[in-house]
Amino acid sequence: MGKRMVKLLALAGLAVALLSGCGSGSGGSTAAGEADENGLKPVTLTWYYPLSQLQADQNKVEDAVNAITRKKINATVKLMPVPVGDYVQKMNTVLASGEKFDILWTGYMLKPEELVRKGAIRPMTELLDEYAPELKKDVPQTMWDGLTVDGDIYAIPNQQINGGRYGYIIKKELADKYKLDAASLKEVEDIEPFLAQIKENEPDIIPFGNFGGNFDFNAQMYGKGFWSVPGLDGHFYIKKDDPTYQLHRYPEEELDIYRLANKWYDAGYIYKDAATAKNTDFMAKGKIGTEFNLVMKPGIEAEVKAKNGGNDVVIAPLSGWYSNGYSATTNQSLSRTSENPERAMMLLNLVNTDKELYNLLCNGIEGEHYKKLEGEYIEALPDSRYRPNADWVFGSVFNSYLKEGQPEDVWEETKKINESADLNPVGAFKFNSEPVSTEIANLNAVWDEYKRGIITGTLNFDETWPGLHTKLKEAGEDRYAEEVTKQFEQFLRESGLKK
Amino acid sequence: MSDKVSLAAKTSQAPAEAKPRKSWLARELRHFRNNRELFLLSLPGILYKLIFAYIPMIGIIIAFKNYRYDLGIFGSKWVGLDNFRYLFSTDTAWRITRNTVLYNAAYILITLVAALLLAVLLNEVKAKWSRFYQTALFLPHFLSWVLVGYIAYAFLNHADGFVNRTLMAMGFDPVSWYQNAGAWPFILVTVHLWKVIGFNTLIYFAGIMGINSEYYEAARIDGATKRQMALKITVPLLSPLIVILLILSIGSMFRGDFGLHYFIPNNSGFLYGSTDIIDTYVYRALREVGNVGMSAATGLYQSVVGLILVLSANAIVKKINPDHSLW
Amino acid sequence: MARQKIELSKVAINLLFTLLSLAVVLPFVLVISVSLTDEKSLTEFGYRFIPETFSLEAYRYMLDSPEVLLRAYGVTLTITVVGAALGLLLTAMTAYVISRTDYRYNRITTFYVFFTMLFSGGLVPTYILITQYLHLKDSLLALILPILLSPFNIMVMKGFMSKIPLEIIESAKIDGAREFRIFFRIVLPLSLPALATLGLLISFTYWNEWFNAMLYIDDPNKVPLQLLLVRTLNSIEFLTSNSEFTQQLGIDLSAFPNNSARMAIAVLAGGPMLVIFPFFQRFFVKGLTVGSLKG
Repeated sequence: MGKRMVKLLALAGLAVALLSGCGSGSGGSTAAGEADENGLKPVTLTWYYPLSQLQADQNKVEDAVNAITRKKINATVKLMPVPVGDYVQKMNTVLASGEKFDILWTGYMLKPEELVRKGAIRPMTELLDEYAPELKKDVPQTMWDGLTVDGDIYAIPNQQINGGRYGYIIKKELADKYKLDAASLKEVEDIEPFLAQIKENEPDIIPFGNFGGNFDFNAQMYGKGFWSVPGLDGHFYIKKDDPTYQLHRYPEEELDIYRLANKWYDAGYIYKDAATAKNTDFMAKGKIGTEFNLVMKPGIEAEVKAKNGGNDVVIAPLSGWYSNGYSATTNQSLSRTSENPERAMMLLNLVNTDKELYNLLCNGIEGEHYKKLEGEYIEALPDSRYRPNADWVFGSVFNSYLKEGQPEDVWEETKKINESADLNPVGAFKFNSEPVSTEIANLNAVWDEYKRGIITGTLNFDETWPGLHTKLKEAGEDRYAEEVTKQFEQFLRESGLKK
Repeated sequence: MSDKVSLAAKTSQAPAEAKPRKSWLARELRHFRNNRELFLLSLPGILYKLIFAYIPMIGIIIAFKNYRYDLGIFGSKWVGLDNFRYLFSTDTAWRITRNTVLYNAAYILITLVAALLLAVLLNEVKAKWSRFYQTALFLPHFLSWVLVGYIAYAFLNHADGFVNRTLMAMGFDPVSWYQNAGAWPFILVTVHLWKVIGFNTLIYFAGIMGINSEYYEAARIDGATKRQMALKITVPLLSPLIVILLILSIGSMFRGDFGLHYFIPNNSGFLYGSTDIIDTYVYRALREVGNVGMSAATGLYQSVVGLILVLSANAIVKKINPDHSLW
Repeated sequence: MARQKIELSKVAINLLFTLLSLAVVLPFVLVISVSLTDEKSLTEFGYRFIPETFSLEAYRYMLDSPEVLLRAYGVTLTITVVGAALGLLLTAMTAYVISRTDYRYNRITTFYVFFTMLFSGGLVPTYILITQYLHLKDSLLALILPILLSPFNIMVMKGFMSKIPLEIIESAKIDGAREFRIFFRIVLPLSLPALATLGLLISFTYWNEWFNAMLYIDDPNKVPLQLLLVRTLNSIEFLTSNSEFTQQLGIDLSAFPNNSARMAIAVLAGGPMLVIFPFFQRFFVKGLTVGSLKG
């Protein structure tokens, strides 16, 4: 043995010590301490949510948030913003590993219903009734329905506009020049003569800015008398006036949309490389004549103008307001691993009812990050170090201060839209994709190959469809449709829509 | 120590067998004692791999389970080979497998030849210049594929890409590169070479540095030309390194470069026929489903095929020259 | 005559490398020049090799909060230096042992190491190991340890080291040297170019590291440089390719670091490596011999 051996062993020991790590234990959320006057023990709550960009003054705002939450519910909040591009990957890993935390944002890219099937989030129906009665009342039933899976509510919606109307956004300069009366447009095809004029006379302008992202076929199908069945791949429909709720798969009306796109592509109304070019390349230069839009919410003109190089636009809605139920776009859910779900629920209730707290999260500290203007209006201070610009991520936007360009009654108007929109009768349907995940994976891969080509009209639809359809069949189209039909029938029976 | 050994021998069933077994064990122990210093040198590495690679490999069983977050790795239900099904259930399986293998074969061969050639040539250049060239060639290693994707787009986009502007200036029609599948094997191979050539050249160049200069002295005295020296001294002496790099890359034959095949073709559906590889297909298929079990299954499939390929490659190498085989 | 011919071929080789370097460097020129171009002229004219309108705005934007950038440099530098030093030592130790053909367990150890290149447990088990057993969340060790020892590097190192003649080691043994001494006193100095190469590769791995940081680092003070860059790019990628999401929520993309800023980040992230490169190149010394060691 000898000294050398000892040295070597010491070296190995060092390596082991290094490998076994020395970080301190993390995330103990039950700190010992005094209960407050309501009998609440102090706890720490961890809350993950996505942001487009992380904020320099995050800690300062967190401290200010905690000043409120400690006082009101004796909870310390650990805010964990994650850059939106990493959110799905990071959260899926965090959830899959069973890490202990309390609240997470769920929605568009991290769907609550998928998380339910994976056993990641916990039901909150009872917690809502007990700890957040005000919030429960404030949110319309449609939204709760949209967040209910197998009879339990799994998320709290961040209320915002729920519904849309589709139509065209047209560059005003061109509408004026060619004397287009926006109000006269009733159908999608009505724009054709205008597109032809632009094509003819404005060589620098792309008549119809369709880059595969926004010429939404589900919206157009609404105009053709169909409801799309939510939570599926978008190609299942029911007819609006059909009391039997018969499912339609790839109805001819849908295929006509792709034929129209192809017609316009061939006519040169759509950019030649639309299927592979980037919308933003042309948008900011103001080179797009007409665009299809499916939300058209109040104040959209100002929003578009900010993005298209400062050109004024006119809007031509082609439909009334309608809603596919609530598609769970932006919500908060409770992690299965939360050790203090009650307190987490109290916090969410507070965020959605306490205007001060909510606006602190959205806009930072008054005087430091923003200043108040007249009435409810605020303005971010120049070089503000906290400007997440994501009111939708924290809670109900109806509690937010107004920003320049927003009409004073924007939230009343939005609420009105939410209440009055034409509602999809099967909007609450929740598909359980687990039995057909293989088929869905393959179908997704097939559609991805053709989607942009078809929607931009680059591909001749009638030539493409037979081959595509064969591929879809091969990928498991029939099994998928069969499973959807089965579950849909069951849903109809359970919800009393069909006896 | 020897007590334990004899104890082990006693407990074994047949006393007649005990004797040779004991001597085998004893011999092994003696070998081990002779080699213990070397073993200790490798121990930190072995322990590291144990903790950071072998222990997490428990997770491989996820490939055979319907992984539920609340049930965990062990609690989730076994589903047999269900998670593998999506990889093989369509025609696409053939397309992506073919593409993955062919692209990797092309990358391996072209990189090998080019890097070797450049390394030999670099050796002929004055040290000052050689350092400059090395640095320049290595630069692309810094850029992420996302950024390279932006740069490629600046060259290839339809409206005002450099390539099309050049084509038009020369009187040709512009080409819709992102819709023209035929050109992509060449584009991808070029971009790949551009990205990795510096890295590989550097490895071979370092290998040449390590060659004992006495060999070259002797050859020079014998009047050998530069080319003869390169072919008769440099390449043979580099061959262990070459073989190792070859076997390593054969092991990843079934693993495509996702960044290269996703960001450079801009994920254009028109090009899938000639750009789609296993990794991009899986990304598309699972992006919405986000199924941990299915992605684990893909990884396992790629690993197993890689293992088979490497074992075969190593066996072949062993036949030709046992000194060069990896194990 | 012969001399002239040699000169001529030298010129040809230099010419070839100059052309190659140009081809490789050209895209970098583009990156730098875009980072120096006024954003408006970028939307108007696209990427150009010579800026239409010169502007330092992108760098001003980046240096607006220099403390974030400086801290990120600090983190990256720390993990690069520590990781490369430790990683290189372990790589060399392991590689040396498996390069010794007279070592009884050399083949099995090689396979043991190589196997980890092909098979891995995947993200979730590793994440559980790092966060729940080693408790390395928000620790710089979580950036250093997971990529400390790559089987690829060990194999390449083995390739280099197998060129060391066994006779040298044998004779050292006869002189009474222990393995430990042989490794540090003979093998390591003889492998200088190899060590420099691997050191370079390992440093680059650490310099470019962002994935583990994305998973394990929540503390903004411990974010490495590349993560700053990558997460901005990822977010832009995500938002531009999910227009229905951005449309519905009215997310304003114009508030994002634009083209020039993206490229400026790349320049700021990659630039310092040009200093590290020459540092390692000093060790690319030709023809180290045993004789030169003993002298």
